[in-house]
Amino acid sequence: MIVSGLLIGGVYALLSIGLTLIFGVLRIVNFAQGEFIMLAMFGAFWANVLLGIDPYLSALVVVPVIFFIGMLVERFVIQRILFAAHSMQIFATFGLSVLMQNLALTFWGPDYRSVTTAYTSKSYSVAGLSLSATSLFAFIAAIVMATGLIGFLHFTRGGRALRAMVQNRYAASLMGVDTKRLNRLAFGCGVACAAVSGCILTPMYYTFPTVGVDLIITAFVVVVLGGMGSVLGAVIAGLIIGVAQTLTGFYLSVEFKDVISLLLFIVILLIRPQGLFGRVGSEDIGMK
Amino acid sequence: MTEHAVYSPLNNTLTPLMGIDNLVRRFGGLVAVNQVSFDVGVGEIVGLIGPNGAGKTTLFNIISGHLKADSGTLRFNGTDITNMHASKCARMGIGRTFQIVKPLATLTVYENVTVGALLNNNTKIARDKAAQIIERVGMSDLMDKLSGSLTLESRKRLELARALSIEPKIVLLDEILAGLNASEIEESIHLIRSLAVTDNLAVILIEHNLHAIMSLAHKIVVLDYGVKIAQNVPDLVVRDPKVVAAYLGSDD
Amino acid sequence: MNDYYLNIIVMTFLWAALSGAWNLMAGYGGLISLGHSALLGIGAYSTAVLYATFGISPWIGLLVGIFLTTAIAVLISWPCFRLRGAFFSLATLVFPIAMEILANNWTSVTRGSSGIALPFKPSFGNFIFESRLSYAVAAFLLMMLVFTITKMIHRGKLGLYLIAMRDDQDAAESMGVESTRIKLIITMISAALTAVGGFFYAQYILFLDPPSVFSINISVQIALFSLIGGLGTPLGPIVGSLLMTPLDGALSAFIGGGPRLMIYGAVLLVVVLAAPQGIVGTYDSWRKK
Repeated sequence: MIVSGLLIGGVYALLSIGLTLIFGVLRIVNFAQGEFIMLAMFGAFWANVLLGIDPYLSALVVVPVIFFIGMLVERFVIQRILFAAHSMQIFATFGLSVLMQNLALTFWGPDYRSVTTAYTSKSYSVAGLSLSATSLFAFIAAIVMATGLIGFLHFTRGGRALRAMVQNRYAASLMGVDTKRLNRLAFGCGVACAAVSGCILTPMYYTFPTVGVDLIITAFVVVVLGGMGSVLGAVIAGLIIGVAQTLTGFYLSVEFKDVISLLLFIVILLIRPQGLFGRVGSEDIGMK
Repeated sequence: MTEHAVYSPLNNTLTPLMGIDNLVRRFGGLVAVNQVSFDVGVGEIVGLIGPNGAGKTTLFNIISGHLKADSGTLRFNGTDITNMHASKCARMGIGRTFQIVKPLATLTVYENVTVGALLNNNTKIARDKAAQIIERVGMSDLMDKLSGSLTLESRKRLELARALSIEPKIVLLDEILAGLNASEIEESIHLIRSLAVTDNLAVILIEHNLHAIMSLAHKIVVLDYGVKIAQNVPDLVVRDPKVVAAYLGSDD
Repeated sequence: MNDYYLNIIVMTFLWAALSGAWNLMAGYGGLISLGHSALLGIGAYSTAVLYATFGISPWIGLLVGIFLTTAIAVLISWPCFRLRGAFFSLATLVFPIAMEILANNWTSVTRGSSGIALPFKPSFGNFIFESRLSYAVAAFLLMMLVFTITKMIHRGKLGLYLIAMRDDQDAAESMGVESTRIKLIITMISAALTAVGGFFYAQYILFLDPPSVFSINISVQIALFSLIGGLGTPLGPIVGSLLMTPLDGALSAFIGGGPRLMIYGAVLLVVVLAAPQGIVGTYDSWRKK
C-alpha cells in the first residue's frame, strides 16, 4: 500500500517539478500548467491511435513540441506580464488555462479517452509485492527526470544561472545573467516537464480536456509542501502526498481525495508556508 | 564595550522616547543586526551611519515592525513593542520612509498623504491635515498629480509627507537625501531640523551624506557588519579611529 | 416586451451585481477569487433548500444564505490572507469543486445531482413573480445596491485603505493600514452580496443543480465582466455586463459551452495584455493625466 503510494507520489513529483521551476525562476504561478500536461496526453493519445506509437516513445516528439509552444507562450504572454500587477498575472495564466481547456473541448470533445498498451494491465512482482507496470515505469521516469534536472541545475552553467535567479533575480541580473533568455528557457523547461509527465500518465489515466484541473490541484499542494523553487522538495513532497492520498483513499473515501488536498494545502500554508525546502520567496508568501 | 554617556540637551526626561536594547536579527548564517542598543530622546535627531550592508535598513525594518527580531527588546513611549506588527507600530507613532521609494502609484499625492492622515482623524479633518502637510514639505503644486508619475526628488518628499501624515512621535528616514542635488539637500535639511525643533519630532536618519548628518544629528550611531562600533556626538564620531577604519576598509 | 429580451435584461443586471460583488474583493481587496461560484451556490442552495424542502420563506433563506456564505468565505480566506495572491486564488479554485462534491453527495438536503426544482408559487413573500418585468426591477435594484455600496467604499476610508494596500502593502502598513482587518471586511461584504445574488438566482431560474450552480463558467464570467469594464471601479462591472451579457446571449444561441468558454479565455488574455484597466479604468487614468 505504501509502495503504491510512493509510486503515485513519483508521478505527482513529475507533475510538480515544472511548476516549481517556473515559479522559482519567473516568480509566476502557472495556472495553465495542467493544460500543458493535458496537451501532452492528447499528443500521446493521438500518436498512439493514429500512428500506433507507444506513449513513452511519443514523448520524443511531443515534449520538444510542447517545449517550443511553451517558449512561444513565454514570448507573447508571460514576458509581457512579468512586471505587471499580481492580479494581472493571475488572470493571464488563468485565462490561458481556460482557453486551452476549451480549445481541447471544442476540437476533441469531452469524451474520456484511454490508451491501452501491451503493458497497461501488466504488473510485476517485486519483493513479494505486486506493482503495476505503468506506475513502476512512471516512478522510474520521474526519478530519472528529477535527477537529470537537478544535475542540470547544479552542474551546468545554464542551470547555475537559473538557480541564481531563483535565489535573487536582481542580483543575478547584476551579475550578467541574461534573465530574459533564461526566463524563456525556464518556462519552456517547466512546461516540457509537464509534457513528460503527460506522456507518462497517458497509459495509466484517462485523457480528457479538463484532466489538467484534477492534476493541478495535487501539483500545487506538492509544490507548496516541497517548497517553491525547490526541485528536490517537489520530489520528496510528491512522495509524501502520494502516500497520504493513497492511505486516505483507502481508509476514508475516494471522493475525499480532492478535499483532502485542499485541507492539506491550507494546513501547510498555516504551519509552514515556505514548505520543506523553500528558500525562495518566503518573503513573497508573506512570512518574514 | 564601554559607553560614553551621551548628554543630549533635549533629553531631560529619565526614560527615552525609544529604547533599542540588544536587537539581533539573522538571515540564515548571516547576522545582520548584532546586539545593537541605543536610545532616542524626544525631539532628538540620531544619525545612523555605516558602510553598505551594515544592517541599517534591517534595523529600521525591525523598529518599524516590518521585520521580526530574533532577540532583544524595543521599547517605545514606555511600552514594549518588540515584534509588534507594522501597522500597530505606525499607530503607536512610528513613521518611516523607505529607501527604495514606494509611492502608492495609482493614487494622487493628496490621496497618498490622506491615507496616513486617516489614522488619527475622520475623513474631513484628514483631508485638511493632508493638505497642510503637503504644503509643509513644499509639494502643494503637485497635489493632484499621480504619485506614480513623479520625479525621484518628489517621490522622496512624498515619502516624508506620508511618514508625517500619521502624526508620529518619531520618524525613521532611510536615505531620504540620496539622489538629490545640493540645493534640494539644503532644503531638506532645513525641513527636517524644523520638524524636530517645532514639532518635537524625534528622527533617526540613515544617510551617507556626511555633511547632512553632521549638521543635523545630535548624536551619531555607527554600525559595521551589524555591530554598533561607535556612538557619540558628530564631531567625536568622525574622529573615532574605529569608524574611519570601517569606512576605509569597506567598498563604500 | 418580448420575454427573451426581458430575460437578457434581468441577467444583465444580475451579472452586473454578481460581478460587482466579486469586484469588491478582487478589484479593491486584491483577493482574486477564481471560485466565486461557490459562494453563489451556497447562497442559492440555502434559499432553495429552505423553500423547496422545508417550505420556509425565501426571505429567511436569504438571511441564512448571507450568514452561511459570509461565514464560510471568512473561514476559507482568512488563513490565506497573508499569502501571495496566486496561492490565495488557487485555494479559491478548489472551493467550488469541493462544494460541488458536497452538493452531489449530501442528497438528503440538496437532492444530489438531480437538483432542486423550486415550486412556482408567485408571491412577494416567496420572491417569485409572474412577470419577468418584476424580476428585472428587482435585479436592477440589486445591481444599484452593489453599485452604491461600492461607490461609498471607494470614496471613503475603507476604499482608500484598500487601494493603498493594493498598491503597496508595506507602505500602507507603515501608515497604519491593518491589511488583515480590511481584507476580512471586504471579503464579508463581497460574500454577503454574492449570497443575495444567489438568492435571486434561485428564485428566478427556479432550478438548481450542482454542475450549473458551481460551474467555472460563472466564476469566469463574473471575473471577465469586471475586468473588461474596469477592475476596482464602481462602474466597471456594470459597463462590463452591459456590454457582454447581451453579446453572450446572442453567442450562446449559436455556439455551445466549449467554444464559448474558449472565446472567454481568449478575451481574458487579450484584455490582460492590451487593456488591463478595462474600459472605465482606462478612461479614468486618461482623465487624471
